[in-house]
Amino acid sequence: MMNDQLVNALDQCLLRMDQGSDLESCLAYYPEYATELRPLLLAALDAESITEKDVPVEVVRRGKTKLLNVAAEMREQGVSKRIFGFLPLRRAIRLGFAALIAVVLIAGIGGTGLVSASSSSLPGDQLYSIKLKWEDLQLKLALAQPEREVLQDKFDQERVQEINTLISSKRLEIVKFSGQIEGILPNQIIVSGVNVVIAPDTKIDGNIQMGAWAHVEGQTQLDGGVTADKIKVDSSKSEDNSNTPGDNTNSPPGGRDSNHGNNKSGDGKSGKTELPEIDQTKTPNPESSGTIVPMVSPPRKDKATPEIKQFEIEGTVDNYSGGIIEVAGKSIYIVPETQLQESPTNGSRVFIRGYVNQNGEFVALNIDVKPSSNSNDSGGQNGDRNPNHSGEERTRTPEPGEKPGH
Amino acid sequence: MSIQDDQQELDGVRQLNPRVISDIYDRYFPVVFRYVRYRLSDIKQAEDIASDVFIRLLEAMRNGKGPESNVKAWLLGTASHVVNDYYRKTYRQPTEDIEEYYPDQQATPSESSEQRDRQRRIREALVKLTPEQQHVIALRFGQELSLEETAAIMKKNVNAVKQLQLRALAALNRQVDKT
Repeated sequence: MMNDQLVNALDQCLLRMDQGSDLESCLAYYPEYATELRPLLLAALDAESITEKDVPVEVVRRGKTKLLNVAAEMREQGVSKRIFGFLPLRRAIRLGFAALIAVVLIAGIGGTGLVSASSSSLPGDQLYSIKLKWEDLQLKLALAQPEREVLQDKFDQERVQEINTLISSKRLEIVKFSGQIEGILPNQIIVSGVNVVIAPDTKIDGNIQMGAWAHVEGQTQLDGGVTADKIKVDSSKSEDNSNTPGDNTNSPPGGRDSNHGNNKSGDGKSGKTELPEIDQTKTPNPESSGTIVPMVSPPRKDKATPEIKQFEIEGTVDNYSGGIIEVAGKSIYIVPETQLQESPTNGSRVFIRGYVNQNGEFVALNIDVKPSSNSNDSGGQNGDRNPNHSGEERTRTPEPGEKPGH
Repeated sequence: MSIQDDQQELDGVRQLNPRVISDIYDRYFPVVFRYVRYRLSDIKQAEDIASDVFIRLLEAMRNGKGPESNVKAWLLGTASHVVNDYYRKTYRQPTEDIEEYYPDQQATPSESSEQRDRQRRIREALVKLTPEQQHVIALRFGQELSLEETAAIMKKNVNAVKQLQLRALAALNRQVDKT
């Protein structure tokens, strides 16, 4: 039988040492057990010495992604189990076959019931897999390539919308989406308006560059954005998109220079951009004060050249807070790529060029602070910009050979 | 956290609610990882096992098992079982991966080397103890849990934990001397 007094003495010594006493002073309280206690307390110090407090962030994140993946799979299994689990195998097979036929029929008549119920589902929802399968079926049923491209484009935008919804509702889910790289920041890229955080263990396939098309797999984060597990950059498309807005290769925002045609099909017909053209009939009203004049909106022909609206605005700075500049009632984001020759101040007159991202946010690429007098030296490239108006904004498309900030 | 909150949280796990699962993971993963890491020198293996413990939680809850109230105790208890299984299956003395240690930044190279050597010996000694002795040491000195918390996790009374602790420390001391 173990000596209870020794057991309690050890416990008391451990308590004292936890509170900061050293080994010798603890032993002094129990001189009769000092010989037995000493090796035990030394072993306790040894045991404490191998503790590692830090948990690597990557380990935490990897584990979380794995767990949420498993949870999502379990949810999906739960649905199919509830549907088929109670049936004998042959009947389940028959029912599955019937379900397949039903899906094909639903495809013909436009889709109702479960499919339409799934249409608003989000990653992690039980019906989400049905939504994806339904989309896949629609793509397969699309006979013509243009039709498929329009559909694919629509589904790509749907993925981005889902992510924004997840983020706004603070849901952590595994997501996959594709889009154009609109911004490159330290350890972060912006894909179709979504902030994608690049972690140390993110697998990156291909070269990340502005305008390239990226396929992202990752997890939504509570503080917004997606932490990427994998990023695959479509290099074939990136070549065609090397001059999109914000490109730090000094190419025109969204435009094409002579070395970068946008003949995606490679048919040799033209190197001219397929991005929307300026509608010259929509000349801005010099008296307007910041209303958007949509000048571009032809349908996207290919996801490699997504519709990119550019804008120009000239007006008085209502507010400038470093990251955002407000001109003519519009908030325009200033990003690291924004070329800013001179820091604007409230009340100064500026001419801003930029683009509208997929969230409808205005992002500045170039900000010219103009002299306070009504000088007319800025020279509108399209001949339709009147520097005298108080605040005017329009969206436009780039023209080949345009240079940013001019 | 109240018992009612615990129950709501466990209901959320049972329903595979990603938000609840995420919350539980954020709260307990560091605890579980540190426990497993304490008992295993292989950090990759520790990561896999710690992750596996949470997947087991989902599976247990789905099958109508799992914790009824004390999630932390269940997770640490399961972590202990999984580590024991791991040692049983591998049936080997763990190889020390010295690179995995994070030496004291303040230490000089020779001190650091001595320190790492000492830590290696302690880890080697630790895995030679019985699973229960390893468990009590990992909880008391790795997790710095109180006797009461340790007793709750080990499903023993406090006196039994005190005695087990004494035997474990004595065994550890002997093994360190041997290595």
